[in-house]
Amino acid sequence: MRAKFKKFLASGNVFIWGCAAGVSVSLLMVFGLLLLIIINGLGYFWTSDIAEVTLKDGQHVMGQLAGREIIPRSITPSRPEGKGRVRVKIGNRDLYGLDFKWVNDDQIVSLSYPTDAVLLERREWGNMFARIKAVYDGETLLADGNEAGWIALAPLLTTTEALHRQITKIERVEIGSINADIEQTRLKIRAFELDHLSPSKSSIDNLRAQIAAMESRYQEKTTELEALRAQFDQYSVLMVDANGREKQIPVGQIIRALRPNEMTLLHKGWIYVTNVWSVLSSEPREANTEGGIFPAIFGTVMMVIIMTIAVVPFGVLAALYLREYAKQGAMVRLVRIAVNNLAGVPSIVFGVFGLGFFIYAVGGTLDTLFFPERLPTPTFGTGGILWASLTLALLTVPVVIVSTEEGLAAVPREFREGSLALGATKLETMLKVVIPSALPGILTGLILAMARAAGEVAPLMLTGVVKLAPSLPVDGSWPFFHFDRKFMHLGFHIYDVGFQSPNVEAAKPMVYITTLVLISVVVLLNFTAIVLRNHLRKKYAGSVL
Amino acid sequence: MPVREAQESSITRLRLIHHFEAHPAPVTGISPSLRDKGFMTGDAQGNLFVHYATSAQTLLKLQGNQQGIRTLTFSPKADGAVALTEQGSVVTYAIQNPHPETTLATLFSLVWYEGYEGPEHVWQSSSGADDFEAKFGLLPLMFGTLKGTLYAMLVAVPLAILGAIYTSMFMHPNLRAKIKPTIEIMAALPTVILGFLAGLWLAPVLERIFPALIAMTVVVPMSILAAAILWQCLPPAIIRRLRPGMESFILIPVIIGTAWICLGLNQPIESFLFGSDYKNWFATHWGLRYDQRNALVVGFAMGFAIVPIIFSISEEALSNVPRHLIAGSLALGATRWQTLVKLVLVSASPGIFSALMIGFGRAIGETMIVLMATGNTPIMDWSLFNGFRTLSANIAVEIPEAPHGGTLYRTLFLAAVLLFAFTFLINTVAEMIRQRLRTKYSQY
Repeated sequence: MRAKFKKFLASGNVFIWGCAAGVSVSLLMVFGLLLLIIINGLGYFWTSDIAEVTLKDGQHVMGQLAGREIIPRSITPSRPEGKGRVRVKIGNRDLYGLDFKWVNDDQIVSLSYPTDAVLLERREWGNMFARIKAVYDGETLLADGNEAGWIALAPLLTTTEALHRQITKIERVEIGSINADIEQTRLKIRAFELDHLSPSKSSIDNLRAQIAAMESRYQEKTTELEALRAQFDQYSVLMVDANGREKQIPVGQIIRALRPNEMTLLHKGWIYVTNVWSVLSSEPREANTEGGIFPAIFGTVMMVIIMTIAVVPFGVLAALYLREYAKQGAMVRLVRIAVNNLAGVPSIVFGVFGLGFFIYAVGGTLDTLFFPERLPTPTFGTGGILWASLTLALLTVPVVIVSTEEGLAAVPREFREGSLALGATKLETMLKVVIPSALPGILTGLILAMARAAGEVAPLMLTGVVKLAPSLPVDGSWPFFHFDRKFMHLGFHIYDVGFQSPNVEAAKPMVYITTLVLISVVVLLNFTAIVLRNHLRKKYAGSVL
Repeated sequence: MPVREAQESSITRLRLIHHFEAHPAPVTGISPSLRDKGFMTGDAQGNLFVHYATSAQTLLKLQGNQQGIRTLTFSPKADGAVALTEQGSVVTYAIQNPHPETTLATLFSLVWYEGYEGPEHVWQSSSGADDFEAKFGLLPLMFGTLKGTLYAMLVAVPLAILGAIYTSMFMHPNLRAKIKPTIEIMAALPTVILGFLAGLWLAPVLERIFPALIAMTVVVPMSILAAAILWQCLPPAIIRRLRPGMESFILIPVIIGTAWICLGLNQPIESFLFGSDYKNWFATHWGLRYDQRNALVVGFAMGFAIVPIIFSISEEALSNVPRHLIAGSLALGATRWQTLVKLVLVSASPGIFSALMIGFGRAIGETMIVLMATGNTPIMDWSLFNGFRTLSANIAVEIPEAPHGGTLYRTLFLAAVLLFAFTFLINTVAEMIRQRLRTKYSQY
C-alpha cells in the first residue's frame, strides 16, 4: 500500500488532478455566474402571493415574502440553529418610506395569504399592497367595500389607460413637435442676426409671427391637456393597508391592479409574460428603478448599428490590403503588431481619445462651422451617439481585421489561381471569388465586434451615454436621425441603476433584468460567431488539393 | 523662505519646509495670489519673481530696471500684476500661467501640502470648499492600479495556467472542443456585469462568509488531493474506463461539496479562528479595517475577467508544442507528468509568459470592475480589506466633470497616456515573444 502510494506521488498524477481542478473551478465560475443572473433576472417577473403576517404586538405586515435568513450572531450554544427572520417586500413607499422589512420569526403569530389583498402597480411610489375601501368619482361614492370596489375598479382602469395614452401622445408628439418647431425658428432668427449680410427685416418679422402662431397653438394644446388631466384625476380609490392606514390614490396613477392570491397558475403565467413584455417595451419610471428598459435597448442597438456601418469598411479594407495586396515584409509585420496592440489598449483610453478628438476637436469645429447660431450650447461638441459609435468602431477595428484576415487566409490558393488562370483580373478575383468565400470570416469578425461593442461601457461614459435620455435618437421630427443626441445604454444602465440610484435595494431586480438582457445579447452573438467560424473551418478543411 | 504651520498635537508651530531662489537684492514687496498657492516677490533692484508655494518652484524671473519696487500685487485671477516702483511709476504685467501647480515632482513624488503633517502622495481633485487646493499626486492611483492587478493575477494565474495545461495535455480532443469555447465565453462577458455582480452580490456575500472562504483555501485543495488518492485506490478496471479529461468533471461535485460544507460551518469556523467576530479580530490583532468593497472582491472579479485571456493564449502555446516531441518523450518511458514538466512547459514557457503579460495588460486597463467593486478611495495600502482607486476608474469618474483644457482635464489625459504607454509596452513585448515562438515551432 505504502509503496503504491509512493509510486503514485512519483508519477505526478496528483498534479494532474490539480490541473484538472483549474478547469473545474473555471467551469463552475462560468456556469455559476450565468445561473445566478438567470435565476435573479427571471424571478423578478413572477408575481408572488401577498402574505399577511400578524405580529405579537398586534401589528400586521402585508407584502411579498422575499427570502429568509438566520439572524447574524444569533447562534448560541443553547440555540444552535439560531434565530430566523423573513424579509417582506412591503411596498407602499409613500406610506412607509421603506421597501423591505425584516420580521423576526419569534414575533410572528400567524401568516396567511388573504385572497382579497390587492397589488397595485403604480406610476409613482412603486407597488402598493393593500385592500380597497372605496372607489370615488370626484366626491361621490361609486362603490363601497373591498369586493364592490374591486369590481368597480376594473372598467375605470381601462378608461384611464386610454386617457394616459392620449395625454402621452399630446405631451410627446404634439407639444414636442411644436417646441421643436419654435426652437428651429428661433435658431433661424439667430442665424439671420449672426449673418452680417443685413437680413431683410421682413423675413425676421415673418419668423417672429410664425413663433407667435406656434405659441398660441401651444397654449391650445396645454388647455386640452389640462382638461384631460382633470378627467384623469377624477376617479380615485381609497386603499387601506394592513394596519388600517388609509391612502387615497387617483385611478390614473394605477397601471394595473392584481389579486395575486386568487390567481391560478395559468393566470400568473400570463401575467409573467406580460411583465416580460412590459419591461422590454416600456420606459423607465421612478429614476430608472422601475418600468422598462426600452430606451436602453434601443440606444444600444442603434449605437451598435452605427458602429458596424463605420467599422466594416475600415476593418475589411485594411485586412484585404494587408493580406492580399501588401508586400509581406517588416512593414506589414509592424502593422500587424500595431493592430494586435490596439486590441490590448484599455477601453477607457479609447474613451479619452474620443472625448479629446471626436467631441472637442471634431465636434467643436463642426459646431463653429455649421451651428454657430446654437452656441454656446454645443450640438456636436458634446457627447452623442455618433461620437460614441465612432469611438467604439476604433475599439473594435482590430477584431474585424484579425477575423477577416483569418477568413481570407482560409480561402484556398487554388481558388485564386483558378480565377486568375481563367482570365479574371485581380479585382474581379477579389470581388467575385475571394470575398464571397471569406464572407463567413468577415461576418464572424463583425459579430464579435458587435458583441464587444454592446458590452463596453467605460468609453461610452465619456462620449455620450446618459442615465435618462428625454428622447430617442430616432423620432418623427426632422431630420429623423439625431446623431447628436445623447442616448441610454444597457451596460451603463446597469452601472447607473445599481450604483448611482438612491434606492439600490429596490433597484436590484431591475439591474438583474438589464444584466440578463445584455448577457443574452452578448452570449448569443458570440455563439453565432463561434458556429460561423467552425462552419468556415470545416468548409475549407477538405478542399486543399 | 516661506514658512508654514505644521500640526503637532494640538499646538501649531511654524516650520521651514520650502526654499525658494534668493533675490540678488533685498526683497521689498510680496503678494500672494488669491486664486492658488502662487505668490510674487519684488526686490530693491526691481526684479520680479513668481513662485509657487506647494511645488517650491520659481516659475518666472523678470529682470528689473534698477528701480526698486515699493509694493506689488497680484490680480484676483492671478493673470496679471501691478507694481509700484520707488520712483513712483506703476508697472503692469499680464501673466499667462494656466497650470502653475503641476510639475513632474507634484505629479509623482511626495508633496507637503498646506495643512498636512508631512509630505504625502495625495490625489484629491475637488472639494466642497472654495479655498481648496487641488492635489494631483498620480502615485496613489498608480499604486491602486498595481494593487488591483496584482490581486487579480493571484486569483487568475493559477486557475488559468493549470486549466490550460490540463485542457491542452490531458483532455480528449472532443471534450476540449467544447470546454475551450465555454471558457472563452467568459472573455466575452461585459465587464460591467462582472463589476455589478462583484459590487452588489459578491461584496456582501464575501463579507458574510469570509471565515468560510479562509477555510476553503485550505480545505478545497486538500479535498482535491484526497479525491485523487481515493481514485487511485479504486479497482484498475474502473480507472481505465475514465476518458482523458473526465477528472475535472469528477472534481466538480467534490469542490461544490467541500465549499458547501465550509459555508455551512461559517459561524463555527469564525468563532474557532477569530474568536467571535473576524472584523474585530483583524482590527485588534493586525490593525486592519474591513471595507465591504475591497481588494479581495476585485481580485475575484477581475481574476474572472482575465482567466479566459491567459487561458486561451497559454493553451494555444501548449498545444503548439510539436506532437512528435511529446510522443518521443512518452516512448522513452517518461510519465505524463515528467513529459509535461521537462518538455512541454519548458518549450511553451515563452508563450505562457506572453499570455501572462497580455492578461496583466488587460487587468491594468480594466475600468468598470474596479469602478464598481472598490470604494474608489485613493489610498496607498496593501491591505486585502480596503479599496483603492485605479488610473482607469479615476478617469471614468472625473473626466466627465473636468472642464475642457483645465489642469484636471490635462492630468487625466496624462493618466490615460500612462495607461496607454504601459499597455503598449507590455503588449508589444508579448506579441514579439509570440511571433518568435511561432517561427521557432515552424522549424519542426
